[in-house]
This record gives sequence, structure tokens and C-alpha cells, in this order.
Amino acid sequence: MQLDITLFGIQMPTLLLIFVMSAVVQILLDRMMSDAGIYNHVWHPGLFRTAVFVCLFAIPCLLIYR
Amino acid sequence: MNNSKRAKLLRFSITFLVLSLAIFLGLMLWDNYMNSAWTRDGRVRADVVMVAPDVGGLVGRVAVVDNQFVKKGELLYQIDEERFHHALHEAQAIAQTRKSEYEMKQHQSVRRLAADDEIVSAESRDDALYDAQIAHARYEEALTQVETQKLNLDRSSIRAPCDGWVSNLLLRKGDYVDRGEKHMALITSGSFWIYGYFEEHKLSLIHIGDSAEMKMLGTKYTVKGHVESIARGISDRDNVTDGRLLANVNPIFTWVRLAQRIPVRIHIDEVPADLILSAGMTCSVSIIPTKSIPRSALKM
Repeated sequence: MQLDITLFGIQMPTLLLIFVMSAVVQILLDRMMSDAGIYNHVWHPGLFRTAVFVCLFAIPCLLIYR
Repeated sequence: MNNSKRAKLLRFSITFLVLSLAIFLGLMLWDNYMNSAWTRDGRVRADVVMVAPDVGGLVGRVAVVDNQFVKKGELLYQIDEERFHHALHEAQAIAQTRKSEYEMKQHQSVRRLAADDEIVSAESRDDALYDAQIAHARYEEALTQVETQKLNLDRSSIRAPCDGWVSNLLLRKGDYVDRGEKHMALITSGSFWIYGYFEEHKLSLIHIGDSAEMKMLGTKYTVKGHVESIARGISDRDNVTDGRLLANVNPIFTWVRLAQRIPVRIHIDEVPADLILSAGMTCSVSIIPTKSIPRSALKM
């Protein structure tokens, strides 16, 4: 996997792209989880959601920066 | 009552589990991103010979075009050689004169030596001998002049000092070039290397001999190589020597400080067949650690 991506001749770290993508996934996941009522079973929804986002972001990044 | 307690425990444990996973992954990513030997700041470099003429004059002919590949010894440009032909003829004529002079003095000397003391004084005999010696030296001087003029004539054709590519050719026929003035850049073939500018804290992760992978900007190409050397000095931006040779220390010391970047020279081992490498290209450099030479073995 590339460490950098190039958009219109601008080089940027792949992390940036992953960040945007994981944000989209997070929004979808958030909607699904609130529909399923999972947030009723967690202690602190805000903290839980942040933690989920960190996981979503870190896992693909770790695949690149091994 | 018991049920609600269990539900509470479940709520805590789910959150705690996800949170600790997030912290673990986050730390791991931080460590991998910040503390592994890679940089996005890599540049392709090459040796450039600045071709300058050994003699000055008008450019009579430029024998190459921009970006042309030339072999060692191939003509690059020709300085108008008429002047050098004349100079050579002049030097040859002078040499001829000096030769005749020398022969004359030689004869004179031989004749005077042969004559007896009553006809020629000892003094004039000595003089004749020394005159002949001087004439000989002057003749040799003239011969050297001829060689010099031949060399000048030869050097009026500027030839490639090595195999390479002519770059950014701006020289045109009719330009006047001075001796020693650089007019043509020649990128030496096979001299390409890569400079990876690594943050100082990453240097301890890099060892000479480690293999390296370079991803060229915006392409799928990967160039392979190994660490050849690490620069042992960069300039100190906070201390530029002033006009009187005193230290000029910058009094602004920032709270946020940036790591200095140290050039690490990477020898290129393998280039994809269809990739044209140009000096100045950008790449990302990753070092794959192989503990080949222990750091303690190197003189620090």
C-alpha cells in the first residue's frame, strides 16, 4: 500500500484519506447502532463513539504503517 | 435488582473494552507512524559536471542538443579555432628562429673552442659556450610554447568528461565564453542516488547497509536500494557567522521545536525498467531494518 496518495499533483499522506473514509463509516455505523439500541447498553455513549472511531481509523492505518 | 446490577456491569464492560482497544490501537499507530524509519521527504540526486572551457573564445558550433546522451570524449561544442591556429603557427615560427639561433651559436662555440689562444681569448671562448647554452634553453622554451599552443587548439573542442546527459542547454553558436566559465551541465550517467531527509530522532533506527524502498511520487513504481551513508553534519540555522566572524545566535527560541532533518544517502540497486529517473524527483523512503553493521562498530 502507498504511504502517500496523489490528488491533482498534490502529495498527501494516506492517513488523510483514511481519516475521511473512517469518518463516513463512523457516521453510518453510528446510525445503525443507535437504531439497534446499542447505546442503551453502554455506559457513556460519547466516550464509546470516540473509541469506536479511533479503532476504525487506527486499524486500516496500521495495515499501511506496519 | 440483580438484573439491573448485571446490566450496569455490562454497560461498563462494553465501554471499557472498546475504550482500551482504542487506546491500544492508537498508541500502536502512534509508535508505528512516529518511530519507524520512513520519510516522505526523499529526493533523487545525481552528480552534475559543470563543463567549462579551458580556453576562451567565440562558440563556433554547438554539437549537441538539449537532453542528449553523450559518450565520454564526444564533442560538446567547438570554440572558434582560427585564433589558435594562428597562435600555433606563430609559436612554430618562433621555435624555428630559436632553433637556427641555437645552431648558429653552437657552430660559433665549436669554432672558437677549436681556435688557439692567440686568436681567441679565453673569455670570448667562454662567452660563446654560454651563448650556445642560452640559445639552447631558449629553443626549448619555444618548443614548449608550441606544445602549449597545440594544447590550446586541442582544448578549443570541448569534449564530454564522462558519459551523461546534457541538461538545460542554453549555449548557442556565437556566444562568447570565457575561460573557466561554466556553460553546460552534464548529468553523469549511473551516478543517481537518493537523499532521504530523516528526522533526527529516527536516525538511531537506520543502519548503514539497511535495505530501503523508495516509492516515487504519484506512481506505482518502487525503487530498491540500501543505505550507503548518513550525513555527519548539517548547518546550524540558529548560528550564522556574521561579517566579523562572531557567532550570530538567534535569540528567538520557540516553544514548539521541529526535529532537524539529516540527509541519509541511499544507493540505488534496482530501478523498474520503464521508470525514467530524473534528478530532483520526489519519493517516500522506507528503511527496512536489517541489523547488518552494529552502530558501535562505526566511529561516532
